[in-house]
Amino acid sequence: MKIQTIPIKPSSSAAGSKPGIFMFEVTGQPDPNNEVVQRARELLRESSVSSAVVEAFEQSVGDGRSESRK
Amino acid sequence: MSMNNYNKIVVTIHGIRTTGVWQKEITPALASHGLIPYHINYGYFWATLFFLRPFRESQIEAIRRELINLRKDTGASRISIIAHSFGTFIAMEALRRDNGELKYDRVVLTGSILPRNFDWRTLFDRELVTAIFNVRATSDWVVSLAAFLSGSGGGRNGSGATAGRFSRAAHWLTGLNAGDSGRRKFDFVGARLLDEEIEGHHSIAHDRVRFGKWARFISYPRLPDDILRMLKRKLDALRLVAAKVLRAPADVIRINYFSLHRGVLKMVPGAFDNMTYVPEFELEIDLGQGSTGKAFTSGEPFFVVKDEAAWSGDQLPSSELHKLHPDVSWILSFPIKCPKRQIVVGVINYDCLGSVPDAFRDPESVDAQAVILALKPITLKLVEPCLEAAFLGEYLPEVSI
Repeated sequence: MKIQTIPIKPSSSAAGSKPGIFMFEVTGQPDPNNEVVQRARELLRESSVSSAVVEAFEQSVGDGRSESRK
Repeated sequence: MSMNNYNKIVVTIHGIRTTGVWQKEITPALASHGLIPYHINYGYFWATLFFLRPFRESQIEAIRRELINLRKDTGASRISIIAHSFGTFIAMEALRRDNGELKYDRVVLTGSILPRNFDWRTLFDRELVTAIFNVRATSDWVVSLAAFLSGSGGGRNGSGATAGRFSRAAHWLTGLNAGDSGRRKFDFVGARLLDEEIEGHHSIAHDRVRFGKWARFISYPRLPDDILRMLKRKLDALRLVAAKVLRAPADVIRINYFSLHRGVLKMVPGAFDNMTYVPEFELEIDLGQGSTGKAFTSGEPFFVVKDEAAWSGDQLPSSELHKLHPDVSWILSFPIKCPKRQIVVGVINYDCLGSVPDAFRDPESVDAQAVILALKPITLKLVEPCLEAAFLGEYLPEVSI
């Protein structure tokens, strides 16, 4: 699994200017141990969101834990 | 006069040997969804006339001219169609023969006598029609007869071969190129060609229960009241989730839904939460432009931040940028795909008034990526079912009768 932010440079921007629009891309198989996945999990835990939010997240990153709890 | 809002004109066209009683019956359903009905009544058209090419052709041409005049008189860039039987043939032949003056938005076909190999691909590629909903009936012998008279009946052996000869002779006499797509599926398969099969005969689809569904299908991207109510509840819930994850006050986080309307992305009326700045409701974003336009065309989430006083990213034209709330500091855009059809139907935007939260100060950081990754699944999970139902003209399970 690869998670990356791809800066897109506006076509009209001057040479050397900073890109300011970013594409967020996830490629490959879900990986619950990816660094970004781990950080997202921490954020969700720390922010005390509902279990539905956590479950949707875990399913998307391919962690079987949410399924086994059912 | 120019039609610059979500009001749509819906042209209804009846078939032969009828004056289209259903056209009068469908009017309340169309009106209740803010649609403007325009009923074409070309009188009781005898079957004999239908089989004679000159009469058939002159009827198609007369209605093509009427549709062009309607479009010019109203300023509508596209018109929607609900047609039955010969009406389906008239509507699509008129479009196919036109030189670009006619464009259809959403089209409902019932008892369709179009050939099953009708060239939808060209019409979709040229953006001459937005979406089609073909309602077929299992026992529609009328459309089978139309196919037979167009030379596609019979077989190779025995009585089938004789029938085939009759069919080809009938085609030679009538010059008809019709088919039985009101009974069997079109050959073309695509995300914008929807199909429904029901039990019954040629006119079975004309009941009042279905009229509501067709009106919902045509009024898209405007959302019916029940779906809008449901979507607003979900947007409110998502806004609160975003505030928690970003550790930002909930009253500065905002959320909205943009969809394609007449070639540009516009905020769907009522589909927002915590937004009160009126100029934003009139934003028109071209495809591929800004965070919203890029998310729609690429199918990937996009993110843009305000750097000091100016937007550093791919900017909207100043006419549109001026409509944006001056305090917006970042925008995160999630494209919404219909899972079954895998096409992007719109974009959910989160944004924030005031300072940029810590996580978003460096858009390429792990923290920024983690926030986007955390918000994406719940966003899609909550809104996709609402928007898929709206695209299809369906009712949500919670509100079906």
